[in-house]
Amino acid sequence: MENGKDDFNLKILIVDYEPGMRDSAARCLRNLSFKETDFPEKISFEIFLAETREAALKEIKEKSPDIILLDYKLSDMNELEVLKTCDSTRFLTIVITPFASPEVAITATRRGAFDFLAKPFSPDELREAVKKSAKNIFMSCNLKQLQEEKSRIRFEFVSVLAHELKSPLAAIEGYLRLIDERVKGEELASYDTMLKRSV
Amino acid sequence: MSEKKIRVLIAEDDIDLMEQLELYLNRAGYEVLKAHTQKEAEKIIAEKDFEAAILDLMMENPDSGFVLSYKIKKASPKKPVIIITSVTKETGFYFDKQQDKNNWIKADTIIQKELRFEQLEKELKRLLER
Repeated sequence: MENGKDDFNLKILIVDYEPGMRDSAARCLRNLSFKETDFPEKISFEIFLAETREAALKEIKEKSPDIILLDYKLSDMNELEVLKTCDSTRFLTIVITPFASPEVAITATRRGAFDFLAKPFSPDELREAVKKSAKNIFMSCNLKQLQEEKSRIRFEFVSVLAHELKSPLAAIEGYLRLIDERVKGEELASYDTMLKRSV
Repeated sequence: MSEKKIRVLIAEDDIDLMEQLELYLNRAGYEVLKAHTQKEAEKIIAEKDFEAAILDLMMENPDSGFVLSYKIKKASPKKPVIIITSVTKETGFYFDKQQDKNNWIKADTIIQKELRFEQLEKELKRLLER
């Protein structure tokens, strides 16, 4: 994830054997950008393409994409291995397949796919799926920021509290020690000022 | 009671600590000259007689104690000067006479707050008996 000059830029890697599919998906997403409430920047996308599994792994390593569109064919069961060999917690995967069956969906989900898109799909369906993933990324990003802010505020609060309490407590402790030592003799009234300053 | 009391200048902007130091030192037999600001202390240094000084480091200026100790030592190099400070806690800066090889700090001793009155009095006594 990268913060562009103006936009919140997400990287998408499109993995598909068919050049036509890759290009049309890329065309469909290249100019996609949208605004999310509570988020100051526009979310837009940077597209990378990979034709083979090897190329995909290389791109994942080098570009660390945020979203992966992964074409999945029954003829090549290894396709989903991409999910297995990578740390799939670092990106969201949308599995694209012409063989939409519960089995495929289950396997994909078990291997860490975030969403599932059945072929043929319309450009709008693709854009919606990508938007959904982007929102998810945005929200976990937000959550992380909130958690960091939470621990920062807690730390500040504790430091301020400790600082604010230190001086008055030291003053009271000082008076108590002096009272304990009876610096002013046995007459209780002579300690009035010290007691008043302490309470 | 014919013996003249030893006069100590205390410069401290925390009125509670000032009150406590005064009480403690009075009981220990000292007479206290009080200054709540660097300015007041400068006036006392210029106009009055005292045998030793206890100076808070940070008052209206962050280096008030250093300035005052410089002024005292310039006039009478042997007069005991103790600086009390919580500067280490507040800023992380640490001042130590042992490490002050060039003798930039003119005071004889630096004591960190929260100080113990006994510790302060012991140090005062030691310096006065030198």
